[in-house]
Amino acid sequence: MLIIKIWNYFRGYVVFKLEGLNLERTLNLAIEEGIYFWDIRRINYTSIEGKVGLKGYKEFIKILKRTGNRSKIKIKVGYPFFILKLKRRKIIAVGLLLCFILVCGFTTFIWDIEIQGNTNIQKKDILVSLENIGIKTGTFKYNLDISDIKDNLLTKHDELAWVGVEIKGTKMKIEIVEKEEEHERFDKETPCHIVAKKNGIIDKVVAKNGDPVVKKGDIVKANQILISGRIERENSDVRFVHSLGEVYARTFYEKTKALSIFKGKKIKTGRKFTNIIFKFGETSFVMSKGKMPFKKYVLEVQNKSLIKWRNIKVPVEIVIEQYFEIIEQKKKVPEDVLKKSLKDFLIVNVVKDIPEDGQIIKRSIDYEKDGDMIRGNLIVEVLESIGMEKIFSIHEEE
Amino acid sequence: MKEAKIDRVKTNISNVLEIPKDILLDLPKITFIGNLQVNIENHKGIIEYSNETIRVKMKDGIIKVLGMDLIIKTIISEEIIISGKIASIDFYK
Repeated sequence: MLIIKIWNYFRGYVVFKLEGLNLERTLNLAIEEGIYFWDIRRINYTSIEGKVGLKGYKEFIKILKRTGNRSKIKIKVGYPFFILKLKRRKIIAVGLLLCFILVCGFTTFIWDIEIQGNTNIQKKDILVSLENIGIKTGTFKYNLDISDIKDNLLTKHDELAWVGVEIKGTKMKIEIVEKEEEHERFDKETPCHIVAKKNGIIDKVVAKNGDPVVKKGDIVKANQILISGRIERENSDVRFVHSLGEVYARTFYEKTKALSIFKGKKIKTGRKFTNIIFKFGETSFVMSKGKMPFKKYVLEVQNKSLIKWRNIKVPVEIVIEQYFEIIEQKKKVPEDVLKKSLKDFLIVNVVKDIPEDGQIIKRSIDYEKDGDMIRGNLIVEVLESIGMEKIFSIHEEE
Repeated sequence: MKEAKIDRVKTNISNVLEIPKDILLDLPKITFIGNLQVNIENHKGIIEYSNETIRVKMKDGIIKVLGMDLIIKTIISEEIIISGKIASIDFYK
């Protein structure tokens, strides 16, 4: 019956109290006239309460004059009364209207531009190119042509593979997918050297084109030329070729880590000290009883702030700092356990640095005791291809 | 006497043609929803109304609804909806 309630609300109705004797007759008369009553309730022997529509009530009063009963309006409910109230208080009406207009007005602009999916391209660059086609915060959103924006971005940024533009309310969401970075390959004709990517000891040189300038056992540094594209022979001119070939070298990866023999165990004593801080923007008020009395403690901080809604953050925050007093207990850890955990840690960390095609040849780990600490040093020897093409300018060489 | 005769004819017609009697004979149609609500269609006005008793006039007779906290939910010239804890309903000639 919700629909009827809404209907009644818009038509407007009154809750009336009818007083007198023989009220049933009055009601019957009114019903005969076609007045619609609902929720009629007997209050006591001489009075009845009920609800009747606005127009119905006017007719009802005429009937009451005939029957001689009295009626009082208890509550006026509904939209017509609301309007009447507003007519009396003009400022409220103006305010409501203004509010409505402002909400409608401000939601027709774009207030936020969100860019997702960029790794190499700066957000700023995209924002700048958006601005060049006339999109920035505060742009009227109904004039925008989404496919136009997409095309524009794609033509301006060659690195982009795909652009998705979505407008959600006042937020413009731009999703981009960047082209996968192609490995730098030069034209087969362009003269180039092959240089070392990193330091290492040469193990094998396979030169398909160009002059190898290093041999097995040489120690090379990063960026050192391994296969030269500049070929000099006696009785002939200097030629420049596109070097090709693989150079394998032994490289070294090293990691060090120290751990303490003693492991501190923290035990809470159960004593607690609480600080409550109210933060309003930059200013903060600290509410606490005296100074923090503990020497050793663990701090637990709880932040209670209002829920972030869209991009608006209410700058009111309550920070609860709880200091728990602790006692530290030192415990000696067995050396073999410590060594094992050091080894595991180092191996996991070193493997991250080794390229996928690298082949581990040797692995050595040294432990060194240094006071309360045990230091582990892991060296991994890897056989990997370290060649990298590098263009050189002929003019420079000459 | 004449009216009684007309009524008898009407009853016969409605029996033969299977026309609903409430329409042809101008009798009230009373619908219960559990003991919570009574709809009385085709009434002729209320005679008495209090929290415990409602008496409604019908064609040659009175319907008396007894119960507790009786409220007239809706009342228009054809229909009356009574809600509350209904205990009984009686017919008086």
